[in-house]
Parts: sequence; structure tokens; C-alpha cells
Amino acid sequence: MTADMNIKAGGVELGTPVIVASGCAGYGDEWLELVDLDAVGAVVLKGVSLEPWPGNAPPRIAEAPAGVINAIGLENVGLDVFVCEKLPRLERLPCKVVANVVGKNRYEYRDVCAALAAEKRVDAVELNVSCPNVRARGMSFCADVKGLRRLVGDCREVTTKPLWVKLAPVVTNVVAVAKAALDAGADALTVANTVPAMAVDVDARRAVLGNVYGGLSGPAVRPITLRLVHLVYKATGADVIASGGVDGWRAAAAYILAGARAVQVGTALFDNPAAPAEIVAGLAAYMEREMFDGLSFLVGRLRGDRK
Amino acid sequence: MTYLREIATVMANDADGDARLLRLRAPGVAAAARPFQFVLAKVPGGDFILRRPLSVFDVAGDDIELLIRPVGEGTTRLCRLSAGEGCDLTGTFGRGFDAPEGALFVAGGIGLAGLFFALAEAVRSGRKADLLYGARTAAQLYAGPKSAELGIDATYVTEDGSRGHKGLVTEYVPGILSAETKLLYAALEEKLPPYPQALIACGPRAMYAALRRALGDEAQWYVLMEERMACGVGACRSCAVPAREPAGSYVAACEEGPLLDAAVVDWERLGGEI
Repeated sequence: MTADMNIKAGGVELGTPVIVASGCAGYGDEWLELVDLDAVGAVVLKGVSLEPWPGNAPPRIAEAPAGVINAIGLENVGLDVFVCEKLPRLERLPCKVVANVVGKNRYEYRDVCAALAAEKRVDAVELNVSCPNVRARGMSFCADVKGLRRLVGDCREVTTKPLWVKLAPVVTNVVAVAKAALDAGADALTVANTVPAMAVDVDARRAVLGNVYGGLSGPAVRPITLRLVHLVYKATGADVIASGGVDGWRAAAAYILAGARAVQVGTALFDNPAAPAEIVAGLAAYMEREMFDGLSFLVGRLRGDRK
Repeated sequence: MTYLREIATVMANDADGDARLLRLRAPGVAAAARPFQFVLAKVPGGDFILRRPLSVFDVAGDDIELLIRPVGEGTTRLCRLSAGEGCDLTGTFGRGFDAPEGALFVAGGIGLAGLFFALAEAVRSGRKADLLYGARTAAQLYAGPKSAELGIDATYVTEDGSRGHKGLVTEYVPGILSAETKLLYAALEEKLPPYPQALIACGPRAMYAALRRALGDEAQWYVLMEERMACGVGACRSCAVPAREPAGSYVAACEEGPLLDAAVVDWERLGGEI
């Protein structure tokens, strides 16, 4: 008997706990032939802003030990093209669709959320308030708890869609940030975004990335993000969606045991487009071995955990 | 667009100057590949997340060829693959084209890897195509015997004069000659068309800069853009090339290219070396 992979996370019924992370999936259809979408519970689309954004100067990507540093700069087609051209192409997508929203200020976030509120193909909205490559007046939205509460509150007012808030990994108090988002009406927290990072080409004596700074993803960030997932889950009991270096079923299981209800897979797809299918198969075997009937029984079930 | 993943089997790995020519049994990729397209090859050993973008050098039956120069750890490991080993490929990516009649291919060093399939296909189907091929030194002029065997009309140029003419390829592009190089060109006049009907270039950025200076803004030519890349399908936007229209925008080399109309590229923003 195959283990039940269904789980509800952040107000969305997922067929599997594996979600394709924003930025790696484009607008959902580019990867169709390479990724087995039956293994994917949801796809988080590339961040969309009110107006088109050109993105950062290249180079936009660099390799790091056990990771990748990117500074794409949220290049995107903007809301109008997103709604008129990109969303209609997702009719045949067999999984849930999460729109990821970015903006320069809280009004832009609100306006995009309002526009997406009526879009049937959008099952949930993830607010990216933590991209290391885009800053509001030089600061991440997550560095300002009050500002974040207002931003999430504004978005909550204009949409009934499930609202996920994607947090930054480097903040003074992740629990305070998480609570602010939840107080303002978030249904789930995506923990976390990439870790601010840098690479230097010593031969050329210059930063590798055109933007100089970027965001580190991949297995390198996993132990850091794992702790954040655990901290947020223990302090809030909220639905947490883990995002940080998931490249196999063991990483996914670790996140779920630490408190996540689902995991996002991003960077691993570049290396292995079969990662979602392998994770689902591995989790199913693990659950059978450990005799768990449903995925939700696994969430936060660490033995000997901190009180 | 159809993408697939295929574990290819290495059939042969032969030295070609300071590079390696890998022959891989990959029926799916071989059937799908068109000139100018590329594959993403997983680096053996598992330490690298990003696959390496490699032009399909040529196709023969169920086999594809990849010409790889070991420049970093990733390409070095790929160059060490031996016959019988597997190589995890995804592809084929990018837009494929057949070169038009009367095309002049201008290659610099390992840049030949991006052009050879188109050139070979043109020659095999009886279309006129010429190769103007330059490198620092003879060891970086690749596929000489194969080019000769196919009957590719090639003109070789090396910076150190170790093979062919001494100098830079860009000095030899017809129709763009400076007064100083006109005499040298006279020797080649019989061989090259007076004006190429399409000039298709692949090489280092400095070669593109020189070509652009020589050809001017009005010339119609094509350039193969090789960028750092992650997904190959236009999803991640890593391989951004500055585009002229609209101002400040980018195109993804993997999706729009890798062969781009030079008029699409915003050369001023492309980078320090241009």
C-alpha cells in the first residue's frame, strides 16, 4: 500500500508535500517535460510585480560550496502579462498554483494581491518579503516588524486566497517576524528565502555577480533553515513550508519532523529534475517503514525535542 | 519545445589539441538536436549543482559529440569521462536553426564548438558555407582533420602564426577590412565570399567587440552567447544578456538564443570587456 501523500498546508490541499520553489519554476510551464508533475503538490510561480522588472546586470549566478548564489533581481513580466498570458497557459498543470508577489512598497504588494484575488487558477498567494536582491529603501521588509505587519495586513484585506509569507533567514528575531505575519492574517509561513551571500573571482579581482551580492541556496543553507523552521513551528504552531536546500527525501523528512507541513524544492531541480519524484517515493517508503498512515502525523514529531 | 533527460554512454574520448572530443550514445538527444542547440551535462562526482552548458558539436546516428576544453573543475571532470561511463544530460535547449546559403562562420578557439554542427550540416546538405577560424595558437584550433574530411572551406588564423595566417580572425572578415589588412586579405579573396550572406560568430567577448567595431551597427550578423546558466529552459533568468529593446531589458541566452541577432544585444551594457 502506498502511503498517503496528501496534506493541507497554508490553506491549500496538496497532493504531495513537494512544492516547486519560486524563481526556479518560471511561470510554471517551462519545466513541464523534465519534471514529473504528478510528484509535485504545487508550483510557486516566479515573483510578479505591478510593473515589469528588468532584473539585475549579469552575471546573475555563481557556484558556491554545496550551493548556488543568485542575483536575478526578480526579473518578471509584470502583472498584466502575468494575468493575460502566463496564467492561462497553466490550465493543464495538474498541481496547485501559488502566485508569488513582490513589490517596492506595501501598496504595490496590495495592488497585485487585489488583482490576483479573482484569478481562479491561483490557489494561494506567497508574499516574497525577503528577496536579498531587492530592497525597500535599502532594507528587507523582514527587518521592520511593524512595516511587515502593515504590508501583510494590507494584502489580507484585499484577498480571500490563502496567504503565505516567505520570511528572510537572517533577521534578529525570526519568531517576532513570523508572529507579525501571522497576526496580520498570514495562513502559512515559508521559511526561508536565500541567505545573503557573495562570491569573488580572485583571478579577475572582482565580485562574480553583477549585483555583487546575491542569495545563497542549496544544501549549504539547509542546517540554518532547518533551525529556523523548528523555531517558528515551536513558537507559533503555524503551518510552516520549508524552503532551503531540499535535494532528497531525507532533507524533506528532516524539515517535516522539525515542523514543516510541506517543503519547497528549487536549486535541486537544476541538478536533478527528477528530485520531486524521488522525494515523494523516498518519503512514502519512509512512512511505511516508520508506520505513519498520513504525512500530518510526521509534522513536528521529533523525539527528545526541546521543551 | 521538448526537453528530455538522458543518461548517455561515453563511446569515445579523444584528444583534440588541448580539448577533448567526447562521443556519447544519446539517441534521444541525437534525434532532437538542431544546429546551435546545447545540452546541460551533469558534472561527475556530485560536487556541483549547476550542470555545464555544452553545444552539440555534431550528431551521427544515435551519437552526439561534445567538444570540451578543460577550463574549470567542472569541464575538467567532464573531459576525464572514459568510454563506457555514463553522462547525465538534459536537453536539447535553445533555438535551433539551419545556416542559410552563403554563411560565413567566424570562430575563435573553443567557440568552434558552438558553430560546428551548423557548419557541418550546411556542407553535408550542399549549402555554401565558409569557416574563418582563429585562435591564440595551433593547439586551440580544433577539429582540423574532421573539417578537412567534410570538405569545409576553412581559413585558419593564429595569433602566434603557428598555423595559417598570423593575426586575428577579425582582420580577415571580408568587407570590413581596415586599410592595413587589405593586402593580407587579397590572398584570401578567392576563397571567401565578397560579403557573407550571414555572418555567424562564436568566440570570446573580445572577438565580438572587434567584430562589432569592424562591422558597424548596420551589419546583419549573429552571435552565439555563452552565459552562466542554471535551468536551460528560460525559467530562472540566470543567463541574462542585455537587450537593446526595450531599453534596460534582458533576454535569456538559453531561451532566445544561444544564437542571437547581434542587433538584439545591447553591447554597451554587456560588460567591461566589450
